[in-house]
Amino acid sequence: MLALVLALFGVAEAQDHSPVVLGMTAGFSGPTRSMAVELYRGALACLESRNVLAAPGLRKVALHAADDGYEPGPAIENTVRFLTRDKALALFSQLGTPTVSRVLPVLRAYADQGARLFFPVTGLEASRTPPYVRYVYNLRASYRQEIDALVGAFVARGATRVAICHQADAFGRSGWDGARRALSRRNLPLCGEATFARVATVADDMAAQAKVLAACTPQAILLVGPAPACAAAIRDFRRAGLDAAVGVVSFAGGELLLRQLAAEGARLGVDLEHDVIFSQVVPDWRDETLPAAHAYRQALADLGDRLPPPGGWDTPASQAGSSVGFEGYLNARLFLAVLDAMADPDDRQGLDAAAAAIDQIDIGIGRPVTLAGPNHQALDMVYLNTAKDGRLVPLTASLAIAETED
Amino acid sequence: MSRLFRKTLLAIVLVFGVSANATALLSAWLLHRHLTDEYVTKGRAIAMAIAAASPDALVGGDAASVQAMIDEFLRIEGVGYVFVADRMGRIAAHTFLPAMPATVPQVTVSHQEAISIDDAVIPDRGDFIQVTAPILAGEAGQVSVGMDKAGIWRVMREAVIRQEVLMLAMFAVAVVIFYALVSGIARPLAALAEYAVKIRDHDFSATPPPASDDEVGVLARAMGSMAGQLSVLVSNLKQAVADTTRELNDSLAHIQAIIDNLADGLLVVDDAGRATLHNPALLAMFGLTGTDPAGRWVRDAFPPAMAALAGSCLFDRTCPEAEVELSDGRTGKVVATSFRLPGQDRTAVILLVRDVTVEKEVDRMKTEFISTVSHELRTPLTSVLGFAKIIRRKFLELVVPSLPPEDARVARGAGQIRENLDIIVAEGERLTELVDDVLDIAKMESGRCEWDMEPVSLAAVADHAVKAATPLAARKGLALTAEVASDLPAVMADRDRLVQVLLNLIGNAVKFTASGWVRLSAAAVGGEVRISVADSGPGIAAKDLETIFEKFKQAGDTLTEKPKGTGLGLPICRQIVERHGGRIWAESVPGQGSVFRFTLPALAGPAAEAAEAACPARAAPTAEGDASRVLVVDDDAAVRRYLETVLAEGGYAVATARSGAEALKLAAAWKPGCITMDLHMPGMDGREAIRRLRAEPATRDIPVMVLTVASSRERAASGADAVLAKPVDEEALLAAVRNLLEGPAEDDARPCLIYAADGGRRLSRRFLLCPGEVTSVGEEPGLWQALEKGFCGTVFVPASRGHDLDLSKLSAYPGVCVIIIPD
Repeated sequence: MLALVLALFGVAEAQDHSPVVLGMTAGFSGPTRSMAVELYRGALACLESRNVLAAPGLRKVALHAADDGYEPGPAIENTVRFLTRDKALALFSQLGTPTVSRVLPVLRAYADQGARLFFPVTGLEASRTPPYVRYVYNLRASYRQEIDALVGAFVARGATRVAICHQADAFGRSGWDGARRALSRRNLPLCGEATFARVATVADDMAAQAKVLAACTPQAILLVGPAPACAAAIRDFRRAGLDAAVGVVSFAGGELLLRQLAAEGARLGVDLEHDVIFSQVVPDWRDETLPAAHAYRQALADLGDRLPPPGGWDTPASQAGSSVGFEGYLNARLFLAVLDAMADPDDRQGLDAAAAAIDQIDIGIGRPVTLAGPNHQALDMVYLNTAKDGRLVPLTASLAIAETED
Repeated sequence: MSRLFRKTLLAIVLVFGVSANATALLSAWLLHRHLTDEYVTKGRAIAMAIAAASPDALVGGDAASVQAMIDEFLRIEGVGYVFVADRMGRIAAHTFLPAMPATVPQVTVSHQEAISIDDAVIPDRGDFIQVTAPILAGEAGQVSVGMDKAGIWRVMREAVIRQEVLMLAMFAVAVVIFYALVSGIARPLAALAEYAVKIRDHDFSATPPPASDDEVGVLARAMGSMAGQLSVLVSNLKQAVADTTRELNDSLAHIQAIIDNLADGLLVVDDAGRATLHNPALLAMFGLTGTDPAGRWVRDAFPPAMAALAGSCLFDRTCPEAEVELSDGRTGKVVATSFRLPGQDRTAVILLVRDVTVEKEVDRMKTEFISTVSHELRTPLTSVLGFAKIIRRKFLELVVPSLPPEDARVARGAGQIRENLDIIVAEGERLTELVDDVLDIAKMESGRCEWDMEPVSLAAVADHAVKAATPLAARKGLALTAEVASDLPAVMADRDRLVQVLLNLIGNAVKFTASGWVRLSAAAVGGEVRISVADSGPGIAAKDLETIFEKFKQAGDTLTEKPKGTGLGLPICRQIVERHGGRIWAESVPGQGSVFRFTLPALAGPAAEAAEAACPARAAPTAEGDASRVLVVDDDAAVRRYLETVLAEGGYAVATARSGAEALKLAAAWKPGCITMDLHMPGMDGREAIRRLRAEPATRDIPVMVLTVASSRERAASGADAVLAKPVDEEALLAAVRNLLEGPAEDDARPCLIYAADGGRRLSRRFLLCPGEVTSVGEEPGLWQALEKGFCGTVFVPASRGHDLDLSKLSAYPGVCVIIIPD
């Protein structure tokens, strides 16, 4: 857990300035491993492409990755270590709601040292609302926005009985909370709810959850969890005869979930992709019209299998992109914009000013983003997809409602 | 492993097991309480911590933060679940998988209660202690923490298992230590026990186990010492037993030799009637030599008399003697004695059998001898006494008157002759008396005397005796008195013998008393009747008081004084009295008289006085033709001559016959009016002769009078018409003949006494030729009573009753003629 791999630019040490360090703690082991690795690769690819192209005098950026196993404790330890020993400029792209929700107080504790978390990969509400929103900058839309988009899609399709199956932790609870709010706004009840363990894998049996949900004969089921648990849930829902539409949030990993569904479906001889709606918080990375998508794919190719994350690259290393990886790429790209806006790249106190300076800039996704908003959220877009032949097919894209009411 | 160790080990296991489990249970219980308290405390702390930390998030609707918070607490040991409800009671966050069960209790905590603790039983999840705490005093909601009781049980189980393991380890150590200790004690003990077993088996040569200094060692040394003493004791005991056994064997052999060599046969019979002991003599007597009757029933192995004797001795307590028939026709006398076996509550009978064949033969020969001698004595006495009397009579009747009265010398000679003849007659009579007494005592001593025992009134007997002796006393001028109590109990006695005793004693008293009185008295003393005869005579010297009851012993000097009796009277008396179960003795103060006393066992009640029957009857005299002929039959010539003389003197024509055959011829040819017949004759005896006479019609009606010395039974069985015992009194003979031939003479008005039950009505009138008054008595006592009253005349006795009477005694009464008549 505590194994720490430092990826350093050994060849670039001849320069005068040491690189700017970003600290990334994520579940490089456990249920979120695939997601963490994709996230890391996307971000690293972006940073490496900048480091390669870096003009003389410009500080390079190093991404320090540490494994927290999707557990809050190690996540906190890693965070503290990044902030103190590693002298990281900022914390970057931490993965997972339960971990991030526990790290938020740490940020508050280290506020005097300018501790800031940039672009955690979570739709956690707390990181977008006071008191912690001061220390966090988000790129992506919140889970509430994702859930609301999914609920809206289901209701548009005529569904009135919507159930939720969520991970038994803060992440799942935030999805549940979003679902409750989205439904109540539409004057609908949450017809049923079930939970599964945070550490659930694809091998776990979700028949119990299927049974609980089947009790209310839902027309649609919201699924809040990482890829392996979602794959297991969808598989067992279908096996239990639950043919309701299933909506999964971005944390499921999109392509990662799709790959596991395909594997499970092939093993069982069932089409598990059918009637699953994937909510994404970044645009389609294959979209040729988007410069960032193109750059992303190029950066991946350039990166190869250098600088492996904790636990190494998955073998065979997937050279293909993913929604998660694209999110990591976009996170890094936006952070580089912040970094460029900073007067002193070593002074954390300049981060807020630099972030405030990010206003309506283009990061290559077809629409400008800004970090100056009260909720420190750059993007309010939710992209819904369906699957077809092992690939995500964009369904709709909608501008989610910024969560300001309550 | 020794038994000791096993037992103690078992006890240790039990104690350890009980204590270990009890301790474990106690610990578990305490732990359970403690853990429960701790869980409650912990749950309370968690609930309050959550309550304190969550208001912001809850109020802000941030369920995710609440969830993150409760997830953290879920990690705490023992926390089963946590859920938070908002102020509306809606669940804001929970930790259940896959869903929150409906069975989870949702309590509402009021403001007053800071906290609520409930038991939650959730199916498939277990038992929980649910601690519910309000958040912001319930305004924000409330939090519930479920503490899993399984944790309590798990901790408890682990603690108990650890404790049990510890106990087991301690137990193992204890067993090892205990084994070492017990082995140290048990090994010497086991050796000691082995030694004790050897001593028990009398192996005193065994060596005691090596002794240590502890208590076991003391025990071992003590046992060794005890074994030594025991060994000495046992060997002494064995020696003593061997000595005793040898002595016992010797003694037994001695006794067995005595028993085996007893001349008498010995048989011991147990109370069941089985023979338990016998000797060879017994087997020889019963011809059982070679058999072993031991253990057999006496009635099977021996003659019935033996069994009967043993039985009566066992059960009736009377042990008489009996005679049994032995083998080879011999006779045995059996004496039985019962005794109680020492140390047992059983009696047994000893039967001693003595072969008395020879004694009986001797006895028989003696009796025969006495009978013969008395006959041989009486026969000459009859002649001597009879002729002497005839000579004296003829001398007085014929010679003296013809003597010249003036011739003094002749007169003196005649007086001398007369005196000498008186002496001859007196001595003859004394000799007859002596012979009778000798016969009496001989018969008694030989046991051949016949006793007619019956309840007898002593008053009647005494009266009889006094009357009989009164004339005798009166001749000497003595006063004879009797003092007999009227209410004397009866005695079982032979009346005649009793009279004999009294007469004897009275006779002696009269005989030895010159002047004064003789007194008979009788009284009941205790269970017996005491009779005494006292006199005022010279008395008896003390040294003679006992000897006078011996035969031929008389008081005084028999050499210098003239004997005044036969010397057999008192011995006879003693025989009779003792035969009646009494005692006789004499008391005397010399010079003041003497007292003879005897006792008789009394019967229960007074004897019924025999009724005196007097039935006067007159019988008409009848006469037979040719009544002057008398045929005398006797083998003794002197007696023949005497009888012939007497009868001829009486005016009868007399023929004599020497034998029965001759008598038959003469009776047929000569036709006598009467026959006198001796019974004991060579050739045809008198009985046979009488039978033949009766068989012959010509001689059938001739009366026969038996003159004999034979016993009364013989006389009765002879079939004679009348009987006279020898020596025959002249007058009695003539009277009897006269009665037979003519009936009583006209001038002879002596009365007749008929001894017959019916007064003689059925008797042949032919024989009742009584000139005087005829009296009849039915009972024998009446007869004797009549005689004692001085009856003088003829007594007619039917032949059928004759054998019951002592005819010699009857005929001995003076002036009494006895005629036995056929009935």
